[in-house]
Amino acid sequence: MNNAFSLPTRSTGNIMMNVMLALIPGTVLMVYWFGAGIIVNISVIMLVSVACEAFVQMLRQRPATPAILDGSMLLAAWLLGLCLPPGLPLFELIIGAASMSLLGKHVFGGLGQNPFNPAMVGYAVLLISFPKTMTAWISPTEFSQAANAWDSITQATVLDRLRDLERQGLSVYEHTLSPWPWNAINVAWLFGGLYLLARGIIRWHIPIAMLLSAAVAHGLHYWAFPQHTLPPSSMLLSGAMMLGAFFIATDPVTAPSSLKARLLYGAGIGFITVALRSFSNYPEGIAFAVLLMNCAVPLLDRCFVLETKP
Amino acid sequence: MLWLTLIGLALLCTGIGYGFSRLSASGNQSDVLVERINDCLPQTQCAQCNFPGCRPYAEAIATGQANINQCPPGGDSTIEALAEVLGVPVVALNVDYGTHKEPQVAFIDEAACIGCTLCIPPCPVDAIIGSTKLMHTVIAEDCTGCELCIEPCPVDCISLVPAKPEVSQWRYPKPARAHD
Amino acid sequence: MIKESIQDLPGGLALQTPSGAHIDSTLHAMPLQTHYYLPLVNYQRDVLQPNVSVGDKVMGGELIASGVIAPTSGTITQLTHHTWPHPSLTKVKTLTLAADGQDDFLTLPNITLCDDSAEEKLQRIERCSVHGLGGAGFNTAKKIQRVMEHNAPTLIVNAVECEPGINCDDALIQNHSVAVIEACDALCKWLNVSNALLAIEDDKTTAIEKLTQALLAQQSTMQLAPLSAIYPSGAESTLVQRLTGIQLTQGQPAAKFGVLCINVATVLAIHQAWKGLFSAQRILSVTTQDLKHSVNLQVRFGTPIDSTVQFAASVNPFIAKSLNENRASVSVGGPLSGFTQTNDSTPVMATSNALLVGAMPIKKPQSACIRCTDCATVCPVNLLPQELYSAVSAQDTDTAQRYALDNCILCGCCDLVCPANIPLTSWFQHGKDELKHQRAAEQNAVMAKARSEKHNTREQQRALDKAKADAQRRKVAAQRSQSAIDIKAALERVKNKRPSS
Repeated sequence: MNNAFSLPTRSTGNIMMNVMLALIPGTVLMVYWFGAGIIVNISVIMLVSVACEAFVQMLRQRPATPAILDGSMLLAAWLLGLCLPPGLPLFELIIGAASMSLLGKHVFGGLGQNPFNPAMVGYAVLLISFPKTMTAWISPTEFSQAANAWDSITQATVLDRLRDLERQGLSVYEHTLSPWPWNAINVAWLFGGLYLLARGIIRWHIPIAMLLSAAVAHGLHYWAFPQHTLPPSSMLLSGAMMLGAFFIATDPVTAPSSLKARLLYGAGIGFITVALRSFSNYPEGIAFAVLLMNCAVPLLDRCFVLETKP
Repeated sequence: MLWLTLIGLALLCTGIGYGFSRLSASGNQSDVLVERINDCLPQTQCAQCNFPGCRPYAEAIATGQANINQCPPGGDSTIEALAEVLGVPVVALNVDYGTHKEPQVAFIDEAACIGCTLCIPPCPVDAIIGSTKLMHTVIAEDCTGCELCIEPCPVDCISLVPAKPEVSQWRYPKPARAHD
Repeated sequence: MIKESIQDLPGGLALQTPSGAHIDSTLHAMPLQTHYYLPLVNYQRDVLQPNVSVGDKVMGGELIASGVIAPTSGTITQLTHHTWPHPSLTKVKTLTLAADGQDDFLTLPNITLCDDSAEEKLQRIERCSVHGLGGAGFNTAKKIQRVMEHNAPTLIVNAVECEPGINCDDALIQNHSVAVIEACDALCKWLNVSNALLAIEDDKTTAIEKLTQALLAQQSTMQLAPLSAIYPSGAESTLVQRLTGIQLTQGQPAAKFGVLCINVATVLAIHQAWKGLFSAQRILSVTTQDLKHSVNLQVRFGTPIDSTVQFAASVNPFIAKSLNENRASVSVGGPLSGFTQTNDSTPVMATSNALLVGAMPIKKPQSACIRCTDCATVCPVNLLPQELYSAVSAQDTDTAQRYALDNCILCGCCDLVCPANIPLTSWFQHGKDELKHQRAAEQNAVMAKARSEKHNTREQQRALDKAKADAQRRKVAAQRSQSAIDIKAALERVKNKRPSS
């Protein structure tokens, strides 16, 4: 196509590159608090998923290099790596990466064909298969120099801790919960997300709808049972909320097309996340919320297509 | 109270189910089915399916006397449409009945035609015009290419030619895909 | 005098003409050629029957087939299959006209606005072969006829081009602003137009200035409607919606709603037809592929593309330079709507509004669609091209129709922004043609079914009649034979009695 009119155009690789750029600040913070294990996770998953990609492309007799260079698999690998606790056994990493690439993407026909977010497929497989190792986030103190600032959390994230307290019938007030590192990391994701919005890589509908509905749902929960949960403000900055809102739920391949459908999709993810956080056995609900709403995408697309007719 | 609710729900479901069954059953069920099947067929009336035309074949399918893969002119797309109407799996065309060909039309070599009118009654769609001892011709737009006029011709002056994609028939070609 | 409250286009692209671009708005008239090639095909791709045969001498303006007139006087030398400006690159039946150099035209009497009937005016438009000069090439008389069913229709004169590289309407207005306004006013008076608008991009400052002066001088009732220069503002359906609020869907003509949307050059051609001038030429932009240099030529229909480009090169050295580039080619139409054509004796037709010459940009490699929805953002008719693409490429015509494939105006905006470099517009063009074909096949099947049913009832009736007639005959025969037996028996009896006597 002739582009003599100096129109700013972008390529798929360019989009993926920008998303990865936006992931850097949060990743740096995670490495700062949780150590090089994060880097190990990300790089092992990247290697394995690129190998899977090359293998599948070979099976399908298609050139492997463009498929790897478009960056989609590397980005998914990076996202999955960020969701896994450092120090996960190597074979679990390999299983996660292989399920992400093969089950999450290639069984459906490769890039652009997958109905489910590949990174979340990998995460869900790992979480269901290895619940013990998957929820064992090491304490930030083990790696951080500022060890004295946080004392109470060992072996679990704030959300894990919250889940344990609730199970034991204890109130949050009696125990010190220090969500500080996660809050900082979430702020970093938020900034990354704002960068993506500013560059026009993503649009506001999904993240805003998701955060709003999560806040409302949290608010209701907090209003009903204040002793069992954290205030909505800190819940929005805990766990993978911002990462989910700006980087995972916005994956264009698995999100609906029309803008109204996207609002509903985001709102659904936010609500289900809170529901899962509050009432399920898992401390974090984003992955399952995204996968559940992925199931609803064809329906949403079908319902809202008539709206788009001029 | 629980029992009442359950009975109420059961009644409601029965009512809804009955309503739907009435809705879909409006009209003579089998006739509707035959019509729907007939609408999937290409209407060439060529009788290659061993039935005397498209509607008889549709009736045979509806009563289970024929398979859905006996229509060579319709090819795969007709089989897919039939499979959807009947809720049965898609099967390959049965080549015993013929193979799928590109659209064709009959052509009368007007110099050789003796005006015997033998080809006119067999034409299922009245696409041949002509009179006794006068030259006959095929109305190309109306011809379905069923080949039924070939056999009766005593001087073999009818042949089938490809329905030529004239410039008005030209279709924009499928663009190349990334991995084709 | 200036139309306000123009709705925004819900998508589209602001296509910049490259900086330092030089557009030559002078009209360069092409000299008379030795040969003209006249394809016997109309805008609907119907093949036409010629009214003349090889060897005939024709005058300029003579109807050589329905809707095709001779662009000059001369002799018909050939009836061959020849290429025509169409993406199919197919050949169609074409008449070759060898010009005799006299350039004699038939003379037609003047048609005056008040004296002559509407019938005569329409006939004159038809006779002078006025066709839409915007790009689609509709039959103008038919279009007007549809509008005449409405009282006080709305007139939209379309001078919006928006595709960099096409500036023939701009050049026309800059050179003939007074004639254009006169023509518009005449059309308004004839059709009793209630609301007359002249749509033009707001960045065509010279043209707007000239039009404003002409409007004042003529005391015209036309309103100028300056639109922001966003591609594709010139498409009929979007233009009508933005100026009148009427939504056209599924290829409905604007005429159905009493809106006559007509290209500015066509309006002038109508006016000239009433003065007895044939519509046998158009203004055509020849532009370099990098869109930096452009000239406007007055070209007769049937002029071979190669001589047109050659002439443009003789006028503008930059065009000559791009013509000599490596891999130089010629495409007909603008950078978005155009298609590549070989640089040969393929003729210019009413729909050829521009020729691009020079090296084609190299195609970038395609990758898979990731549903980024960039295409949906720029779509000027609010479609979801990414969904349409998946439906069309899977040959799922039902889904494609649900996503309103019919509403696609094939503007090419989605192609330009697609990060995966998917040729979306080509897919949609393919899908539309397939859909059209499928509908035609369905239509044929319905007709065949009806004919076959009639045939069957008739044959059955005939068989019944025959059976009845046979039965009747048999009965008569049986009666006859019975009576014969009776007679015989009687005779026998008589015979038997006789000998005794």
